[in-house]
Amino acid sequence: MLEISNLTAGYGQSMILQDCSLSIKTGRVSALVGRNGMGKTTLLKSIMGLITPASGNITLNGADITGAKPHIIAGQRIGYVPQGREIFDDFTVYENLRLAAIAAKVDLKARLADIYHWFPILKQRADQKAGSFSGGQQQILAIARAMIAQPEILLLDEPSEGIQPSIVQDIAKTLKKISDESDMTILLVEQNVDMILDLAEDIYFIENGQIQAETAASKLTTDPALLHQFLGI
Amino acid sequence: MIEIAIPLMDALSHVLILILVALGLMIIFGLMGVINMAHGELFMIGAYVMVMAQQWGIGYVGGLILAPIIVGFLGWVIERGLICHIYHRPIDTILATWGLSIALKQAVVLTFGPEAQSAPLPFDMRVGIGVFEYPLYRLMVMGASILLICMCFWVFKKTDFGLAARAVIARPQTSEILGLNTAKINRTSFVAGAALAGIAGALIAPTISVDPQMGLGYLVPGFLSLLVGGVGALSGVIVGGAAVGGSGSLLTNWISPVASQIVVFLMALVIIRMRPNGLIGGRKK
Repeated sequence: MLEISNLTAGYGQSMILQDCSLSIKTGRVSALVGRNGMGKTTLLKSIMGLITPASGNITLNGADITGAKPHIIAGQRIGYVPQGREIFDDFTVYENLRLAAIAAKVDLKARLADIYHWFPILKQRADQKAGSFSGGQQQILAIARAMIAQPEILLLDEPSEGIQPSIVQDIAKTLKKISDESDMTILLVEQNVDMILDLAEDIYFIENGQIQAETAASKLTTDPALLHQFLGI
Repeated sequence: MIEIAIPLMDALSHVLILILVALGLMIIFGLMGVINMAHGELFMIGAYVMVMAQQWGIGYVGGLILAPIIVGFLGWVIERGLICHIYHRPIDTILATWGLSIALKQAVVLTFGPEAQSAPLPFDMRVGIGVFEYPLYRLMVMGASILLICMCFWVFKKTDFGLAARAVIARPQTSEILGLNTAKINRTSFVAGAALAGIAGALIAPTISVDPQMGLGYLVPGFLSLLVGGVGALSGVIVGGAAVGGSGSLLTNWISPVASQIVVFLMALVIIRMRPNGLIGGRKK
């Protein structure tokens, strides 16, 4: 289980997360929802070790990973799909996946069967330069790249951002399929309500650097008041 | 024919050594953003190892093996002791490595004296190439340089380490979140760049006078090669090295060395002015 306790973190003197606490349930899809600037990305970056928290703790299955180097945290089988995708433009699709296998020290061939099952387009375009992909295809590649390491927990930072709605639906369907077929925990940071409702089981609302409310996704469809309160829709 | 063939061969020999030096600079700069002002001294120490190897009685082959090991180890000490503390501070790295270059030069002066040393040629034969004869050792240096350059390209383009290193160059933070230990890759690359300078120095030592100031003669054209060829692409080093080293070496056949240096600098200025990303870099995008 991923446990965040009393976390305060930010950039320089400006603390975005203020005494933030959150428990991510194992094997479930959780969504972290909130407006821009409320601390969603800061929380994911803190979990990944990209930001060193000023105070508080992050534990994974009881082990403290607060402030550890990002490659050590990645080695604890936490996969991260950053905002903006950050794929390697000059590498082919295959090289992007190969790099992830080298980094995670896993057998690429063994993992490719799963990856190509979930994302068949990557098999068809394995030799294509990733930079020539559309935004949606790059997002698929970024998710596949994170999946190579067979993560226990997958962190996704706004996977729908800048992507056409039909591809967003495809990505949501694939992530749902992955979540159903594996026991992977997913923490999704998102503002796209359709994607949240399609995918998430547990929803956490963040405002001013703290978790203000949580609910089951099933309840949200009948009572959208929380969405109105925290997303303004 | 002979009038042009021999200067061309000399220029090619000079270009290949320059490319080896510039490749080391490029690997270190490309990966870590570190402008290593002490790279010329690493080259010079490689040459001194070759001189000493002959005096220690381990011969030419011993020197050739020992030079990249000793200079690579020195690179490891420099990275651990100095560079790793000042990453992402470009001005500080320039100042620190410049200070280091002075310290290394003075250490060599104190140990071996300021006078030039020489390493004997391992063999002093000339071989016929068509209508002219050329020293066999120079041909061997050219062959070894081509082999090392090809090896560098192979490592960077084909191996797992090369893919990881190129990833660190392109997106260091993303590489880290995928699980790559970027600090370790940087260190390995710094050692490789230093070892490359060491072996280049050892290879060239029997053909030039080895003195504490020799590094500068390769550092400046090495940096110029990077700028002319384009920082970021390995192939840029070859184009830049050929343009800077080739023109400089060829011009000395017709004009004085000082005048040829001035012409090379002017040519580099014009190229950089017209193509700020270099001959290869400028073509991208």
